[in-house]
Amino acid sequence: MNLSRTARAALWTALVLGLGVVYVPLGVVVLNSFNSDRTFGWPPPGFTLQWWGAAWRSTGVRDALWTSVQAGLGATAIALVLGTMAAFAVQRYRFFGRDTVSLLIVLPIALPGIVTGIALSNTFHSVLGVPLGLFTVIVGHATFCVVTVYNNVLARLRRTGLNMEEASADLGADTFTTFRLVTFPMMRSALLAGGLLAFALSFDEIIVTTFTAGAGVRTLPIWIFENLFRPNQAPVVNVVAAALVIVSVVPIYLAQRLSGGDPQTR
Amino acid sequence: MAESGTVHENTTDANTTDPNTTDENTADPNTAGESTAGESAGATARNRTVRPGGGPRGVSRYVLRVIAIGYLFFLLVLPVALIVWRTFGDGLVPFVEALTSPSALHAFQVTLVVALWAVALNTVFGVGAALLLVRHDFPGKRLLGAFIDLPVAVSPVVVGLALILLYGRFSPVGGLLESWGLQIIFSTPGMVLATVFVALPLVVRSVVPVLEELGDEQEQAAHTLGASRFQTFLRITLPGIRSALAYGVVLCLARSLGEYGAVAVVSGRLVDQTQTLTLFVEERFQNFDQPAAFAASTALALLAVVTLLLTRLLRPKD
Repeated sequence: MNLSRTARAALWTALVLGLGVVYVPLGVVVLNSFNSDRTFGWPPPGFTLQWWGAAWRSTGVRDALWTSVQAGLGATAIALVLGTMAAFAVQRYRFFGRDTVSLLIVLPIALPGIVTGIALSNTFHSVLGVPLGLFTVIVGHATFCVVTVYNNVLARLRRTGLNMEEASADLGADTFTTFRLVTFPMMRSALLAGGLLAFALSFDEIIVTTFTAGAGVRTLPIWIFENLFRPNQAPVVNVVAAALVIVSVVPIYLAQRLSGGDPQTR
Repeated sequence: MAESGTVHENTTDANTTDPNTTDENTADPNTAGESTAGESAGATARNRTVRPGGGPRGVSRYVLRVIAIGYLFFLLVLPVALIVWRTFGDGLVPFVEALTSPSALHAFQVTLVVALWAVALNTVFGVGAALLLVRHDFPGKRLLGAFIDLPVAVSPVVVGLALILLYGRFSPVGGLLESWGLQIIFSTPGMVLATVFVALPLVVRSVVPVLEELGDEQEQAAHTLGASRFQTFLRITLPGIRSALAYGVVLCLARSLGEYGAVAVVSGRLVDQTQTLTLFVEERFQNFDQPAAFAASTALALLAVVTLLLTRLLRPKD
């Protein structure tokens, strides 16, 4: 359809407005992290790196960053193993209740975080008797991280089919060799994309974390949330938020690159 | 938390519309040919159930199944079932009572208003952006795609903070709007903005692959036959993307209903004023009113299951 001039103008307006909702506030966050005025006076009287230094020296921020990284890596590791296994089980084998299982696996992504959080905290407390801590955060995050890996691997499995693996088996490779030399290389970029998104999800998550974290376990989003309305912390909070915005470009950029290198992922 | 989950749901979606995708249910001619040729490995490729047990493959099959089901049971079925059981443990009456208290009803209403606004705005944006991205050539298209994707990767708390910095009472923009009598933060417009933000890419990413696959031959034919551009859009393009659009809208709705982080920050969590259903659950839980918290959780979980089933129905050829 050739878009008429007015239609094009209207569409561009909608696009610019929509992106404005997102990027004007994000731009303000990033700019304010260099604002030399403590109270974010506008326009900024000057620019400084002082707040970035202060954020870097803050032990609260460092501890929270380290906790977030640990939680993200742990949840991603679990998600990669379980998500891949689940995708193989659902795609390659037929069994009773397969449709239900595949529906249940993706449920956590549709389930509001607060429901997952309350449900898990309740289960850890009253059924399993596991004390809340970093470990429970990792397990909690894993529930929805699994979905990202599962979806990516499932999509790849659907497309690649079994031909290569059969050829490998016909040529005398055992199951493990076939997996190592044929299946895994075919899955690699799907695993990378899924793992990356899983890590990003875990890194940004707040509500499941609140309900599954024990006392003293503080991820970066929780740290921001706790310090949000403390005026004397405002510049540092702002720097952490700006850093998170900049970091979140990474998974999107890499996902684009991955899809660019391999036209099939998109 | 539904954030980027949808990114890959889109990946899956894009794949299912890919003509090269071999759906497991449709017999693939290549594999079929192979399985008649070779008795050993290829024969059982499509039909694993006839494969005799034992051997490394047979074992791995059971291990996979046990792990998958164990995980699902302990981390999903058991926790959710526990909530549902606690909700209905004393019968239906407490459940209904908890959900019809004035606070709960108000939370339902706020959630509904915010979600409907956000879905409507995102639908307009999504269809417009998808049309531009697919039907119009301009430099920086890929970059624009990345710009549209970014919001899902931004932490909801940061989204909230960013909106407060821009529209808060003490910022120039917020101050100006407030002098016009328009309060954004701690009020409905801010919550709608936050929800629009976190759900921005969902409709675009659902519609783009279908619009690409559709091509524009029919649209050109309609145009040649004298249809106006608007008629063409209504009669040709819109019916073509209908189910993909519905899929995106459902995803967007689910995200809007379940959003917590961004809305918690910009709403100020004022009971009976800006409290959405998710915030209601949290507040009740913190105040040890577990029956109300569980009842509202169950309601949210039911909504989630319904949306999930809807997306299954709407997703093409899955």
